[in-house]
Amino acid sequence: MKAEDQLRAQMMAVLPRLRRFALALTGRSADADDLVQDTVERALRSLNQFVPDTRMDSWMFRIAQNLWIDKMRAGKVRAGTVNDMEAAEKVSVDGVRAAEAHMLLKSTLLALGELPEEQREVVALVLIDGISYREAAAILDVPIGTVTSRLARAREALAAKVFGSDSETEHAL
Amino acid sequence: MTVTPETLMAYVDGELPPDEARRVAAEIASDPKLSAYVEQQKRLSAQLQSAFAPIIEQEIPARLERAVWDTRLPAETNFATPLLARLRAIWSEQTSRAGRTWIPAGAMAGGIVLGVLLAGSFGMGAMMRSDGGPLIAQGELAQTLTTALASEQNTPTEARVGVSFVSKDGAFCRSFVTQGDSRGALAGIACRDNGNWRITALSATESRSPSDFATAGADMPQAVRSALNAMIAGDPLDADQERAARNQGWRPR
Repeated sequence: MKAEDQLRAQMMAVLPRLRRFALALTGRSADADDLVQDTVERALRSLNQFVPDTRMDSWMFRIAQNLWIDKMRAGKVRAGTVNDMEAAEKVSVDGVRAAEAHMLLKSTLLALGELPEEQREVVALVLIDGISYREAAAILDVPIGTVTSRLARAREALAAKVFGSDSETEHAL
Repeated sequence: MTVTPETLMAYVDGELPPDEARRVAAEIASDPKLSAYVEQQKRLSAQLQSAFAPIIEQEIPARLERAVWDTRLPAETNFATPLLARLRAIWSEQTSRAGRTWIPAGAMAGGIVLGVLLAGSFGMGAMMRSDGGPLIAQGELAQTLTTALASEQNTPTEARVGVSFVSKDGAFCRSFVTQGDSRGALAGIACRDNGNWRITALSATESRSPSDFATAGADMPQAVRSALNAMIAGDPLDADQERAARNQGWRPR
């Protein structure tokens, strides 16, 4: 396989996780896939900047995150609350399970949408994708301590939303 | 309580080293309040993950697949040295700051990325490689380092050796310079390491005309000379010692 095709194939393999990351950031599936498409195009056009043998996934996550910040600053998109059902619509499994999955995703996106952008990024990387603190710090270009403090605040806010009064225990700590 | 909230969170996220994780686990087990908190935080992570799980299983939309396979690459995309663009930037930054010589600190410390970048920027990819670890000479450079004697370099090659010496670690090392091209050349030191030539110092230098190059030999950039002075044990090898070392395959004495 040509070097070029290998890189494209590597990129294909990152797409499922990149779509999930983009959905967590944007809250809407149409915005998410627009962001993924922009990310792919940007990545391919700046392939000279990709350092071989480093993680293509981290590189693409980073491009996606930067593009998203740019889009928000430019006012082209609105971050935050999900006010349509579209995000979960394509999640068609079957009957009851589909409805449950749909509701869970929708309520989770709503909860994420209420977080400040910087916390949402960290949640998307560490809690949803399972990326290490160190790798997340590299992707976001912030010190590792910033990742952990944002994550701590996000966890507290999410626990309060998701578990309601359950989270009393945690405030007591 | 001896477990801080930060440590607790790192525990939940699997970020603690095994020893500390065991210690924290024991502490949690003996404290119902801590266990309730950890339980809740684990449930939170699990819920987030299962909420997003269906996205991972979805088929990739056709437009995204097309974007991956059909987006045209810029004409200057170079797969032989895909680092070129970044390299040139690093290179010009480093040279403007440090004059014309530079030993990448990373190359000395083992994080060889900059060394690879430097090599790549001069089209030297064929002469050096790195598998994420140290920078290793290959191709004509490795050949020259293994076989050439400083005093007998009559055939034109891409690289010439300068001084051979024994390092403080007891390994045979040799300084070298590459012919390079109009953008410059590389000079450095390679040490014999498990049958390879490991590059331990690397610096940019002016490239020479072929006739000058034939006599370049021991002439090396200041940065490489400093590195050599820091590494060398005793005196450089003389011609007889160099020949003996080569004939024995550069095995440490």
